[in-house]
Amino acid sequence: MADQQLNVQVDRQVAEWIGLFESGDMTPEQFEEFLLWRDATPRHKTRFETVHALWCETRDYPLPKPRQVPGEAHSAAAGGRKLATRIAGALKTLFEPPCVIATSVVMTVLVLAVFIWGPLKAHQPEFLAGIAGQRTVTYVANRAETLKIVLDDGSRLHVKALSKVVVAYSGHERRVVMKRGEALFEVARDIRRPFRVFADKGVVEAVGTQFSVDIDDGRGLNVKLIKGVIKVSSLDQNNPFDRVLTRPGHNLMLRDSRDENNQPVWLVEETYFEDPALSVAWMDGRLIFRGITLEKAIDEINRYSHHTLVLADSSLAGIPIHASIDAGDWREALRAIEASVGIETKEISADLTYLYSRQSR
Amino acid sequence: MKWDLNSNKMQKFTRHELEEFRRDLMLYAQARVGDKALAEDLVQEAFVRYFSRSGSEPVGSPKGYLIRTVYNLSIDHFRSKQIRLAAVASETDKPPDGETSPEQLISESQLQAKFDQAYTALPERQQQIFYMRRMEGHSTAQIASRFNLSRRMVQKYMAQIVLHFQRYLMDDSR
Repeated sequence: MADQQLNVQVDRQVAEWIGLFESGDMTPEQFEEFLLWRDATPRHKTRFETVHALWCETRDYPLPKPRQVPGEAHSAAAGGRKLATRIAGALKTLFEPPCVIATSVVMTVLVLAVFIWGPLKAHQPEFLAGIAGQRTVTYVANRAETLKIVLDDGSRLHVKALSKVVVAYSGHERRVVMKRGEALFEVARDIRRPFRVFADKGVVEAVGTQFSVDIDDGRGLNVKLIKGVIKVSSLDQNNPFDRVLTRPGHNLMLRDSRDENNQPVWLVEETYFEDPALSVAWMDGRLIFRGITLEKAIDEINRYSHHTLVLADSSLAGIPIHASIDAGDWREALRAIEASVGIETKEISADLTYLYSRQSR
Repeated sequence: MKWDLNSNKMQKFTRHELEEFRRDLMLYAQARVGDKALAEDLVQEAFVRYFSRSGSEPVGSPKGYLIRTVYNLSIDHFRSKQIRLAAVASETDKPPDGETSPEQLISESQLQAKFDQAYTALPERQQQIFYMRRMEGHSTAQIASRFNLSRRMVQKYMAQIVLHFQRYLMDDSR
């Protein structure tokens, strides 16, 4: 009985110490006091290390947001009610960097938004009154160009050709909204301001991890985990979805659909990549195709070149392509395609080439 | 080996022994700044400062010196708000050899299920405090201000929260 009481007492002390560690406020004197307490008896040391290890193990677990946090209504109002309301129900937080343990300062986010061909408004950043009442900056990359921008917090933004990104930082949040195309973020770590990427009907949030998020072809989300742990959430309150990804290379594709009762549902497809980092090779001026269709490959090639390749034969569209080429070098791309697919080409003009199937000619 | 905080006995310890203190120092640095990579930098810097002062006055308590150096460096970090880019290393630290890992105590999925159960069972205010701290990174002062509490009270709540989770996570009957 006495031993049990002692255990209860030690557990209380352990909880107090871990609570103090958790607060981030521990002074040197308190830490020295802790060490004295911990080393006073083997029971203290063993119990603390067991509970602490377990506690840290839960660091990456997501938490649903409580219904109401004091002061939140004010923040939402100040921040712009309209968008906040739209996203409020679905916004989920990702993983915080571990108090203790986990770690990182750089996070990479790749967002491939709905791909829309057509003229873009501006090349230079434009300032808009905007998201949630914050000052926002819009970055637009035209065809055959990539923007590289260092943001206020030291994060680096790479905007892919034919892409548009809106950045809105505030004191409590670093928000990015993908409007079009693809972008990659090397995100500086800031424990007090989560980094959130809103794209299409989803949001991905993380601190201290590395992942990519694609919104592919306008049909839903395409999330690739490169490293760490992330949580993917739907912004559609009528079609909720939450999923935690933990395995590097995990590719989660969500497609907007309806069930037999005509209710919105997500169709989930999952695959695994051996090397998910290949998906961001465009940052280094390379395009690496590992079995994507010729149609999609040509979309990517055209993105980086002022010369346009056109599939004149629809039977070629679904052919898988394996190639590694320099972005912007459309002639090299054509040679790579010709090496694996039976095609003929015809250069219609200085900036236009058609691709035909050999059999159809 | 025990460190005597109130004596000069550590003066006799070797550099290797002092390095053994690194683990405790990491515990403190991570508690201060939350980020492992940054914590490692602070600890490294603290050791560099300690060993580079060979020609200076002897340090009464190397351990105390190192702890305070880490503390000061963490303060400097937050003051300057300097954010640095560093390599990603998101894997959870593994416990040192010879210790029982959490994985051995309970499977990951069971652990998360218990964690979720514990979170759901938290009283409303404690749930809000825990969420603000863990998911939003609010400081004790910020939470205290939000809830109109003293900092000490917030710390008490945190201890209660940890104890609550501890009971759920360590209880095999759940």
